[in-house]
Amino acid sequence: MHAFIRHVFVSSVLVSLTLVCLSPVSASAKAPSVKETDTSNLSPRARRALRRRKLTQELARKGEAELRKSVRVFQQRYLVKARRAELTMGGSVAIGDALMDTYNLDAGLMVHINQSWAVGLSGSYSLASQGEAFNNIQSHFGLFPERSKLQASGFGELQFSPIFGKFNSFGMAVVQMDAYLIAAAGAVRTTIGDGAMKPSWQIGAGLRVHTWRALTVSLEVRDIMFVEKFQAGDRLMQHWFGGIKIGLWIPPTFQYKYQR
Amino acid sequence: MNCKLTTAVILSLCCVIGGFVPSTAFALDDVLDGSPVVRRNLQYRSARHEVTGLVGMTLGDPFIRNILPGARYDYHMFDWLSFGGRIQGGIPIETQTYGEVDRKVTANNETFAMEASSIRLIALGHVSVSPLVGKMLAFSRLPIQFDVHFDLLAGMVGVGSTGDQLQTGTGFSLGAAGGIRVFLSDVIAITTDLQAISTTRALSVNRDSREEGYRSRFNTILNFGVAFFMPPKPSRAD
Repeated sequence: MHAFIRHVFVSSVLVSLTLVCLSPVSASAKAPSVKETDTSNLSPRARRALRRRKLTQELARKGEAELRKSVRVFQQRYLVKARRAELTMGGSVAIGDALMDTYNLDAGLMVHINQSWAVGLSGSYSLASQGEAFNNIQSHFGLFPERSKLQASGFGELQFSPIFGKFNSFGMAVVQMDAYLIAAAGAVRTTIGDGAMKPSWQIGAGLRVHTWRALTVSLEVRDIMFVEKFQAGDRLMQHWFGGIKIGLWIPPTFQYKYQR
Repeated sequence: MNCKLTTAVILSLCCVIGGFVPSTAFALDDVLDGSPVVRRNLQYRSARHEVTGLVGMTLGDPFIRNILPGARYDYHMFDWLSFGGRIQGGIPIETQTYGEVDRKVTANNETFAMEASSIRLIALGHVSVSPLVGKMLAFSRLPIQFDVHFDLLAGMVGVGSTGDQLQTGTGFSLGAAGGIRVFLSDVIAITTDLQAISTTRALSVNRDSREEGYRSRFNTILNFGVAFFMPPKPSRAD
């Protein structure tokens, strides 16, 4: 038995050494060097053999290049959304509001029913202040307009994601993404109305970049609409917000139904 | 003994080759090793002329909303770099706030006449970089190519007024812009971009009908356009 083990050990060492010695040979066979040799001393038969070898090497190189070009890669979806929850956190800024500067802190929880549809809840806490134009109206014209500042909002939300895509930057890496539409209904609280919640609705669109399988980054534009009761009368208010969100996916891992 | 030796050699060969082969096979199978991430992609911009008809509007102007129809030209030296220019004329539209201020101040001061400045002309040259290029599939069947581009702008901006108290004229302007270009076909794309340009203009007069306030300001403009590319066929990368 000891002899058998010794044979196994010795044979293993010998075979390993042989393979180690052979590996440079195989490497040189994979990437043959085309050295210019002096063929004047060779016999006609040797020259023909050399030419054949060069042709073979050239054909092999071209074949590999063609093979590389002919390979088409079909990527799996990097992010599976179906039956996963997305916990979102971020911030947004009011766009195009000439009189007020408003910033929102946003949070939400979306449940993705499948790859296209999601339902959930979202809410915002608003930090609003008078803008330069509002102050100018007060100081330049002696007018004191009634102020409606957003304070907070909460919405039930529906998302539909009809677009899936990918992009790259200077050929460095391919990043996947999806674009989605938003419709939501809920309530907002403003500085008018003694803290009462007012019915509100919103529409919007977003772009979700699939940065990691458990974390995404979304860019969104939302239009929050509600009717404000000013002393001069009711007015439809529209607040456009542009923002960025981080999405934490629960569970953080997933399995493909069909493995590659 | 010979039988044992043969068995030992075969077993050793199996073990050692078993250890070597997977890595060797992996190395041989990985034909894409070292290949570029994207290849043979259509270069929708490279060595092409782009002419865009566009309409813009200023955002966040309290008294005058400027509607800015115009045109933009780009020559794309590479798929990621272009040079060009844009020219836009301004159509001033008074906002609700303008009317309210005019009405309320006039009620206390009959000599008051509301006046606000507007953008009359934009003539800017630009260099544009498209660092993000991609494709999308809409409704699982409609393929769309797109890019995200960023522009640096320099040129002249003409300022007008709704009255004659505010200073008007043409001044030097700098700016930046960022936007998306979505290709509907090899030739046509729709574009949208957000640009911020500097202008020298006071927003409005005060209640004494005199110019007041900062004159240097950034104006944010949202543009929508339809772009046409020539030559009609995009080239393909290696």
